[in-house]
Amino acid sequence: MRKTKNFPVSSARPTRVLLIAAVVLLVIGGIGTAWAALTAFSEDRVYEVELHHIGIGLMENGERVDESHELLENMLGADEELQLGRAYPEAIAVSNRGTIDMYVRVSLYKYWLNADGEKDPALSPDMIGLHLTPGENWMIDENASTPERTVLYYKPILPVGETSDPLSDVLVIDPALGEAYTETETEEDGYTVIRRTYDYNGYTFMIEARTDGVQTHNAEDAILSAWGVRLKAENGVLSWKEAE
Amino acid sequence: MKKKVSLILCGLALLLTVAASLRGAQAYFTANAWAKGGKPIHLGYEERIREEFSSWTKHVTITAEPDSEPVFVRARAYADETVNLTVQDEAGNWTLNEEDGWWYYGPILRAEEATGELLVKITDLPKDAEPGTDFNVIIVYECTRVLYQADGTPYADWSKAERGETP
Repeated sequence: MRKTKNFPVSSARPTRVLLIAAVVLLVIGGIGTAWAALTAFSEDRVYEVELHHIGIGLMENGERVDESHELLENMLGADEELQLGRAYPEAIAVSNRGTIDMYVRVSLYKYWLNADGEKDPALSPDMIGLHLTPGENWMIDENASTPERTVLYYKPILPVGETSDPLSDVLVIDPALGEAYTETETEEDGYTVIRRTYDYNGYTFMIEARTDGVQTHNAEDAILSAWGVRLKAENGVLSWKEAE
Repeated sequence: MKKKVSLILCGLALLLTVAASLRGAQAYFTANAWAKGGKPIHLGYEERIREEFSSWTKHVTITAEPDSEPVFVRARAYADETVNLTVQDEAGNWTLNEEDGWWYYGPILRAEEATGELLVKITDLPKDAEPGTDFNVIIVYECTRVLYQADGTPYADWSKAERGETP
């Protein structure tokens, strides 16, 4: 007769199983990361250590935008006044300044500051006419966009050292801004003088651009993790992912 | 006591598992850059008309105040039926539009600039007119802010003009 041995069932057994599972997960995670890093090196020996970094920057009319060059800085000459209705060149693009390829997106913000320098949401951002040129390579996220904010994704991979297609071409401030005024009539030294006080005199229009880059390896997960959106990265091109 | 230890171990296991997931999420390469800029809008203008009267002629000039934005200027003269008026521009900056009767100052008038003189001569004086005789001659002027087409070409919209006049 075959004897079977019955082990006593203790309450600590599931706990041990869970603990072992957690340790296994940790080890797998560690191995995965280490493997990802090691694949960049020679199998036999390491000759040098290369530190990869991802770097991104904005371009405006072909010039780098950085700490020493703000947006719109060169829009006007030294003593030049802004002319309402005139189209000023404003080509915004993104450059890859790192050592790995990446996918990029840009969030544009437009708003007004009143004469006291405070944001005035009552004046429409639409009067700041930044003309977008998405073309074939930029796609606008309509769901994430508002009158103040526009989010655009660059569909192709942006290779190291390259600059994206511009996402805009000109900037026009709506001349209707000058049609909001109050008129007063006065007599001065026998002269009739009609004066207008303009509602938006002293206002400042503002444009902000924020660009984000993310690695192309395991791109869909990286984009979901970093940007919080579900995009499809197929054959090096981003597109909208159909709802699952 | 055993139950307590089990609970602590379970909690530890859960923490380790979550920590393992977080490490994965943080491993992606990301970067960002940010920039902003703006320009102020200057709206509003103020012009003054100045006239000197000598030899039965009004010498009219219009001056833009220091904070004025660029404007276009036009002017015309009115008189009662007792006199006739002849308007002249010796510098050649004013042009008469015969359709509407206005004299248009060609250059854009910028802050602190003055137009050239527009001479309004009173002619065909009554025979009994003497120095000190009053004539009702009014100079009306209008200013309108310079508007721009997309290519930067300036133009005027006189339907949005401000008006001033002399006695």
